[in-house]
Amino acid sequence: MRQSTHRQLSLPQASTEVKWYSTQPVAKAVRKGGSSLARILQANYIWRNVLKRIEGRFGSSVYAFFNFLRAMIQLNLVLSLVVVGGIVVPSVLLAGDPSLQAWGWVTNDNSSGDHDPCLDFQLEANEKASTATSQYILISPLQFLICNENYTENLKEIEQKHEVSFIKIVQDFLQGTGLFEWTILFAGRYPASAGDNGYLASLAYFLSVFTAYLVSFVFMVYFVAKFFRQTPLRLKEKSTIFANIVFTGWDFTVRGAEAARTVHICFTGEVKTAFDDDQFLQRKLRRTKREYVTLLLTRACVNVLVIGLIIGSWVGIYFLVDVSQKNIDGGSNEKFFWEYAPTVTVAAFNFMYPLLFTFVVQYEYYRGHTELLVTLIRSVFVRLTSLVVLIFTKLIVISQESRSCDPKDPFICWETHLGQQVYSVFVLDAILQCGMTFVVDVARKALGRFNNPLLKTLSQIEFFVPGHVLDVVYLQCICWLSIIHAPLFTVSVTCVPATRVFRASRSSAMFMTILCLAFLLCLVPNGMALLYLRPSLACSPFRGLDYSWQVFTYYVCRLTGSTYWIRWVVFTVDEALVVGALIVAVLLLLAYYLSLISVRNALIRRLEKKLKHASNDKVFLMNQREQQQIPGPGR
Amino acid sequence: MGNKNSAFTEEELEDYEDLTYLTRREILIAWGKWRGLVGGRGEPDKISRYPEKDVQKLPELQHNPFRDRITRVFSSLKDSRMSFEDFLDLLSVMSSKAPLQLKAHYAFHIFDYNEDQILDTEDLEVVVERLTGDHGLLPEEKNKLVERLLEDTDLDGGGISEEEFKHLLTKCPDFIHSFRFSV
Repeated sequence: MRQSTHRQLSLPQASTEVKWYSTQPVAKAVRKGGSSLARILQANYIWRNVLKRIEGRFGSSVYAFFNFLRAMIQLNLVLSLVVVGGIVVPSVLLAGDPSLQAWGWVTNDNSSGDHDPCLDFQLEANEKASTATSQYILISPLQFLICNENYTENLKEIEQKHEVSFIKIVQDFLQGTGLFEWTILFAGRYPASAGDNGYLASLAYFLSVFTAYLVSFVFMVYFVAKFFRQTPLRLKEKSTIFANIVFTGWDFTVRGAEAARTVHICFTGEVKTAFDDDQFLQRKLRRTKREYVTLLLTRACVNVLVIGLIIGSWVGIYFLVDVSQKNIDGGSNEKFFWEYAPTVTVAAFNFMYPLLFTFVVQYEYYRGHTELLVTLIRSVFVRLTSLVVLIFTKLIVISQESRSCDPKDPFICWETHLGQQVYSVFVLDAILQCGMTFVVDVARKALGRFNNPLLKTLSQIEFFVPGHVLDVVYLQCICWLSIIHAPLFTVSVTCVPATRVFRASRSSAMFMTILCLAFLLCLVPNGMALLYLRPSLACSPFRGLDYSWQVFTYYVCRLTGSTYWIRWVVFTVDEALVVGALIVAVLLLLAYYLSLISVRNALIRRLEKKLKHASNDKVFLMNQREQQQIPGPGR
Repeated sequence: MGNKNSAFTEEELEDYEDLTYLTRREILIAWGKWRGLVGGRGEPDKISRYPEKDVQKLPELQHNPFRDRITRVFSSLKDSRMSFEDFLDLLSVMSSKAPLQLKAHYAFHIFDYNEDQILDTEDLEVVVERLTGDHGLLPEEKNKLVERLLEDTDLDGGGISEEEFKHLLTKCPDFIHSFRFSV
């Protein structure tokens, strides 16, 4: 049959029937090219098998979650490639040489006459004597080597002072100190340059970080756009909840009798929930003024309470960091306790607060779905902000000190210190998650083997999709926060739980939106660290500069010849006027698209009304015809 | 899969690729599955027709409450038999690359139990019945559901026509995710 259809199509006749398969040559060529390319890049093959099995057993909502996970892992792989390729590999190959630690940025005296930002700094090592181009050298190049040696010698001293014991190693692992400190795990190790005309290490560092953020941003915008295109705009007139449930009710991806039974149960559950919601809405309309006011007051109280708790957690973290700074000297166990305390507090808040929120939200009488959403948003907020506040507090404390070379100063190498904070949070979180999955969940499933009905209900674990999404987003946020201070983190590990499905919650758009918010939230402390704080003298690729981004200015200035236009563009964009004009243009474009959307909505509504009128006309005309025909046969 | 192209000529494969939304690899997998489903009667070819019951042994269709409607809609001669090309049709419409309008068209015919090109009360009752299986909704809940459905989606009275159905599905974002499977 196919062959005959094909023969029919290749005959040169105008076919008036609309066929849904494409016979246009261009589309055909594109498809062929695409499929042969896909055959070459068989990279997705492994994923496809796993995802198909998940799909068959658990249905499309869990599949959506794992799809999200896969996208995240792919993003992280790309980021790893960027960071490792740009920063880690060259530094590892070249940084073994301790003399490289002597390289640093030296300020030139540029205060006389016309201030040219290009001549502010110069990359030098202490071997060179002061050159003739600079008259006043504000920081002697020798200082870099001295500072760095102070720092590393101090570390070695501390190492040798304490005996090597298992506890010590565990403590070091949890915090990133001791053995782990002077390694490529943290930013401090990376040198400013690799020799005279060698690899531009500091520029590479800056650009790799920038590229990583840019890639993440583009990735997320792409996915959010893709999902929002599928989600239609809300037309408030007709509700399509029931139609949605019934016509999309059967998940065609499931195989197996168990999964089919689950879908039946889900469907029934959803219909009942929809009827409940309907009744709820009816009740809502019938609320008296008095009930309404009481409800509003209760909701306001609960929200105030929640906000109060969250701010309380921030203040708690702030004070804890402050106090731990003061108690930093003491016995080694005490020291460990005070240093680790902020991390543990963050983890404790992340655990306690969602439970609290689920309890409290019952008093607000929201609809089932809204209740879930509200709790989720609050939990997300707490988790992300507590982490951000921790980093922020540390940054504030650091910025209050001026850079020094004193080996007793805990902030002699603050980049590594911040990296250690993020690292400790990450390690604790990973341990807790693995613990929860492997120990607790496995134990719960094992309990199911006993024939006690109580234990059986305890062992049926729901795959609570939003909760797991939150975990993934949290890990990703840690990853983004850490890109500056600990470049090796982009290789993130996730534990995949194996549980049964009872509830289906669907929205991939929501996952991506939360991720977007997390990304923006993480940009803030990193931006502040990169743009406003002075790099330390003892370590980091930016030692000697006033601000890290001056690296970029330095190299842009030195672009001549064919790449001169980059320099021109960068300096023009820098001016406030150009930036203002760009912002205005973007806002105008936004306004245009919003008005386009509202016009299209109005058009759709008009067409629906027209359809209704047309059918009314049809009915009317049919009636008229019948009326005229009735006297007919009697004539 | 052994000698991959023993059953297809290059021209046949290209034709199938052009006329469906499947890739070459998917077509070959589908062929393997088809042989598994109908295989007992010697070497199958692409045109001979086999009873629907065999096709319904496919894992994705085995527990699907609409499997008899699916095989009926995709059977080109409506003789309760399907050929391999009908099977490819089915897989093509169900693949993730098929557009919404096409899936909506076929979904409409699958739900239209009495085949009068309109989804009326009778059709919807059957649909709801099959979707709930034996985990009941009470009969009055089912009636209420069908009433609400017609109320919400019917623009001109007289049941849901194919156009209204397609328009409705553009407002349901989950449809494209649930109405698909792949080999």
